[in-house]
Amino acid sequence: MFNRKYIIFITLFFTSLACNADDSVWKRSHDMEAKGDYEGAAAIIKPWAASDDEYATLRYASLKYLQGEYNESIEYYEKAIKLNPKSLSAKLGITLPQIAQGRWRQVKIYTRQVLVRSDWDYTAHQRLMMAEEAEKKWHSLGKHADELVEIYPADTDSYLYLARARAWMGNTPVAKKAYVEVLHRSPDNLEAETYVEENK
Amino acid sequence: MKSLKNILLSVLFLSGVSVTNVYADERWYIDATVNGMAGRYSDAELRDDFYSGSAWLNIDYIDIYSFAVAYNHLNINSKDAVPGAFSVTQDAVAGRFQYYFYNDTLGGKITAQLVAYEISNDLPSVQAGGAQIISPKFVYTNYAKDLSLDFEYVWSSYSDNSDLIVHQFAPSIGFGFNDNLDWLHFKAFLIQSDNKFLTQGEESLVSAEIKWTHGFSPNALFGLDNLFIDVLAGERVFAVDNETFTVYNLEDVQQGSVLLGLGWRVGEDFDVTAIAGVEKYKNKIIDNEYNREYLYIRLTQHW
Repeated sequence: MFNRKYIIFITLFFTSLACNADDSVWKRSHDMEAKGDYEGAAAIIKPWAASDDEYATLRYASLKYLQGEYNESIEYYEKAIKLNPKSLSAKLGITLPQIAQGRWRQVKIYTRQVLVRSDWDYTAHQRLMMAEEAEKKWHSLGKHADELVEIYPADTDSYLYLARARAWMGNTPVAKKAYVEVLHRSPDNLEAETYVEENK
Repeated sequence: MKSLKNILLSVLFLSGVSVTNVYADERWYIDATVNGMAGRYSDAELRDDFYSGSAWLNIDYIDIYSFAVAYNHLNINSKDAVPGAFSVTQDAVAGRFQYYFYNDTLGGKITAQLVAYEISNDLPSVQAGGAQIISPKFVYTNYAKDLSLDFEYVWSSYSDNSDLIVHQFAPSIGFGFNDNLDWLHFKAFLIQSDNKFLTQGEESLVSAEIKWTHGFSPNALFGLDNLFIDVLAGERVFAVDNETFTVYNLEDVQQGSVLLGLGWRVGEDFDVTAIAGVEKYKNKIIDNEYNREYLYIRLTQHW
């Protein structure tokens, strides 16, 4: 009987130590990140990211993005998606290194996957509009931004995308109106100021 | 090498068939292009005019790899009743494969490209006839897309009628500025022939090309999307242009050229490009300098 109690006590003691060690690792990683030491913050959690720990994988991918190591970041975001195919964090996260590398078509795929599960996810819409702008899909961008300004009427960026799309499509009155809305929300926006001034 | 033509034609056919099946999948991006070119030879003693037509199909798998196939038909008409002049008909098939690498250490995208051509024509047996061409190329473009470096090698074998190998080395560098609305591109051509009797007495030729491309802001004149000017100086013969799948195997020694191109975007998935150009040539065998003046139009649909 004594032996059994002893074993349970020892097991609980070491489990507690292990948990404390983990907590200490996360804290140290976050502290390093706060100080701008992304390399150290990533290195300390790498053993967990290398295993099947979903959060460690996501965090490692994010820290690799911050270091400018986009390929490794994409690799770990892909792993996070495999670990949890429903993860919107991973599908939004992977678009950051893809944007940095100019892989706009892949950005479109992942943002649309997010929008299937969450219709009006603001970040997904913004990144999808970035991709549409990069690919000069002005008609798609204009239609998209038109919907966004209705859903997020206080948002400056959606009006900015709407204005750019309409300007490129040659619809000056609508573009000017959208740029005026940009100036209401962001009075110092140089792009909007210039367009409105040039099209008085 | 006849099998190369069969392979490329099969790929062209299968690609065409598969377009309808894959275009709806957002992982596949397809560009279909048709273009036509017609022109005349001014002051040429032997040649009169020419026309050419091409079709290209490019299939891209979400910024990872792409492959393209192209077919070109060319007719060059000779001056009537000139002894020694003859018309030429030529068919060319080309295939291109590109694979993209993203290198964070170099901060850019590297494109590895391989292009192959199979050319057949009805040239008389005393001249370089059909050809097989292989061309590897590496292109580096930084993530900001305002710097491009590439190196291209072209191995051309004109073995149908004779024994001629032509080597082309073509490094280039390009810079984007003005928010990448403007691009300057410099390219050098070093061409070496191993049989100067078939390359008009020339063993080694050097030329350089400069191209300026300007992308327009909204509401540009005539709805233009872009404009480009391309000037070539120096001499080249049997040159290969992998951007447009063009092989200058039927021309004499080129001594320069200038072209003006205009591009329009109709809607978001259709492009029109029109080019007017003049190329200066010299037939060094009969000592005849002449110009080739042409008009070119290209239509591209993107899916």
